[in-house]
Amino acid sequence: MLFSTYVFIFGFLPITLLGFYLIPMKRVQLGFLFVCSTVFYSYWSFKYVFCLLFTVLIDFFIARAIFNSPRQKNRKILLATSICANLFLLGFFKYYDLFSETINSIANEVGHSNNLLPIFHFVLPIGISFYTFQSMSYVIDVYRRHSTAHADLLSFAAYVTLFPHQISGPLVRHNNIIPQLKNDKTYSFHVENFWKGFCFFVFGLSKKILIADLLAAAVAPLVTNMSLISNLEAWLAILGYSMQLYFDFSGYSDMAVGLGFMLNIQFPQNFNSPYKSRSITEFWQRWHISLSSWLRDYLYISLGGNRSNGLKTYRNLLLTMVIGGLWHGANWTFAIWGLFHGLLLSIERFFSDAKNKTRPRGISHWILTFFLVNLGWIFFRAPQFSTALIWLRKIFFVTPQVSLDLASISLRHKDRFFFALALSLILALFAKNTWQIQFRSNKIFAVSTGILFSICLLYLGQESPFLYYQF
Amino acid sequence: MAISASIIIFILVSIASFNFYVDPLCYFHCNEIKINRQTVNLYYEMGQRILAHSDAKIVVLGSSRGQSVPPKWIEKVSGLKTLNLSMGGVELWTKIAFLKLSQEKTKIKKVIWLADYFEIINEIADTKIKSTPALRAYLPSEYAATNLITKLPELIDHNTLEASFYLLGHPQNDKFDEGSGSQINYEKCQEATYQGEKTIKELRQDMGIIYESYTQKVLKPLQSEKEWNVFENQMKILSDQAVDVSIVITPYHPLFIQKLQAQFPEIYERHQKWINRITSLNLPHIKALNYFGGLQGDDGSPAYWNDGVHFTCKSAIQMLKPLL
Repeated sequence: MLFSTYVFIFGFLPITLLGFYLIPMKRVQLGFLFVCSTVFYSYWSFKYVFCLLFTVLIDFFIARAIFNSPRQKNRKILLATSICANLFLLGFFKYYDLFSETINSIANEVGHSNNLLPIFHFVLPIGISFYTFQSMSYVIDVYRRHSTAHADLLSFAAYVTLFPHQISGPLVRHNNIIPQLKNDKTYSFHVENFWKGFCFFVFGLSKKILIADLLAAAVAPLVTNMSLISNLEAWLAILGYSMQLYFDFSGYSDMAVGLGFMLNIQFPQNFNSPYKSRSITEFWQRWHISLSSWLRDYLYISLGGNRSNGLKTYRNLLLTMVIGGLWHGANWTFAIWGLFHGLLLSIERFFSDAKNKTRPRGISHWILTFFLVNLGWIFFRAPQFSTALIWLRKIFFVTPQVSLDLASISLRHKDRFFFALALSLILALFAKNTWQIQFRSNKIFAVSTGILFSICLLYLGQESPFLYYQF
Repeated sequence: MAISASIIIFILVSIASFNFYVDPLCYFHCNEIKINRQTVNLYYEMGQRILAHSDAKIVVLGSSRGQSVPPKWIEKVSGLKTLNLSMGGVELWTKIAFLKLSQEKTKIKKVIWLADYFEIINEIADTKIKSTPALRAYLPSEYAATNLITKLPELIDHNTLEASFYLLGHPQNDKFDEGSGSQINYEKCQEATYQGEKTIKELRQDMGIIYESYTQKVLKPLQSEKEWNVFENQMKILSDQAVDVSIVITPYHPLFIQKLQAQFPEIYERHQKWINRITSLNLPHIKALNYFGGLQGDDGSPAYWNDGVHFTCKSAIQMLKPLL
């Protein structure tokens, strides 16, 4: 079920909110929330909800067992069991086909005519990349003794399955969410929170419907026809995609945060105007913050972080970013994207280590950072490596002919595309983000939000999935 | 919150009321086809077209791929009034609905059925026909069932609003042409120098887009045995009624087919099985013409193709000549 559909906005959400606030008992309210979240997931696929519930059960009981186990060896075995179970689930559904295609391709190269491994074309259980990571983080924290096994089963289940963040994040932490689920204040209606949540939701919906989708309509055919488009169109494609991805994903995150506020649950900020960054390091402190902090805390630090000598730090950085890239999708282009960012982070780290202090960064750093991030998106978006190479050649004008025509953008989409691109660049590069806006309760703001929401409702008819659903 | 909620309710109710009053898509106020009813609902318009040409003897039934068939050329060659009822995205039940309406209102002698692989999948994407009360009688009851809740989103959709304004600003006349392809200059299509409507670059670009769309969405679902039985049964009915039916299996662009066979062999195989079933229909008055292997002389140029699956009028005429 998408947030940007009538069935969610006029069906699921009102029923869930009404039920949540009208039920008088806290535990029953929490149970109701868990049931609603399970129904939300089942709307996509009933059979895959068992994967989600399996993850919840196995990690809850393993975390409890780790907490109660005095022997380090047993604790390690239990941790390994949880990690293996989660990664097996994730790996099986998400990466098996990539793995088998790669092996078969190598086998074909060395002369095998038949496929060595079968390819199954599994349907990826929606949200699996998110809920396995969220659930694992609880087990790892209990193992590291950063947390007690403080959750009861219902709270833990509700934390993992909570419908606002279930499908595409933010990747929330148990020590942020579970205390809120245990707090009595969560279960009473607070009009200020609800208003704030509503505003976040409307802003997020606007970003998705009124900007991201307009950009997508023009960008998709440009990428499909990369070999035929002009150099100027290649530039427009990358700028368009950069903005599309940001407004789609941050729009979704805003909506998730808004839904959380409506339930009196505060989710963390996931985007902090990332395109205003003046370095790649800063970019990763502003883009998909919940994922980058998860990777830092559970992967980078586990690999050793920056505790050892210089080379190992760079190795850890590169590995973390490559794995982070692959987390986004089962395609080697994502690994290349991750490697690209890993290299840039390493280079920045090298120079900042050498200088021993950081200097304030100016506009040139901002432009360079924005340019490099856009270059990275080429690998993120291109369906194959060959498409990415063609795209890069066109961006750098290394083509037999240089063309600046705009014939590939259909007339139907042209005006809307340029309008959306201009608006998105202004908002992304210069305006405040949703977290920086003061949601006032005055009449003008209320009227504007009401009008904005109404416009979004007029455009909800065409179902258009969020980009991060595929991850 | 209350002010916001009031604004939202006010705007939505106003728009819904306006759209309900104008009803540009004939979802609420049209229980039967009437020639003078103003609408932008293309299915309803097709029904009006059938009423307006009650002397039609030949109907062409197809999807967007049939829209380049010039009905006036068929009329000229055969001497029989022809309607081309092809429309974008049309599937089996919509074709049957148009066919039934045609048989009710005219004396059809011949049907040219442009077969599409996707018409036998188990989905009806044609939501508009399901929501058009005047045409629901021609659909099976399980497909035709709709209720107010499913129609409510249409009342607040921006497309409906734009259609309402358009209709108020552009009153339509009650003159109906012969359907899709009526405006095609068929004589120009038959000239040796005919070069089509697109450049080679445009054709290649559009081929890329349609290949992606067809292989990832349109051709992906499996065909349904239930829908095949419906199709077969309909052919039997027409055969019993002594209506001549020509089922034309139209080709894809040579490069499209080549790529499909190489990259999606399972889809290509399913096409072959479907074609075998059609050509094995052994019914009186039912003839199948299989052009899936390609058209003679087709050089893959814009003279023959608009993209990977939509052929030009030149191709259409060449395909249909043997029938007439």
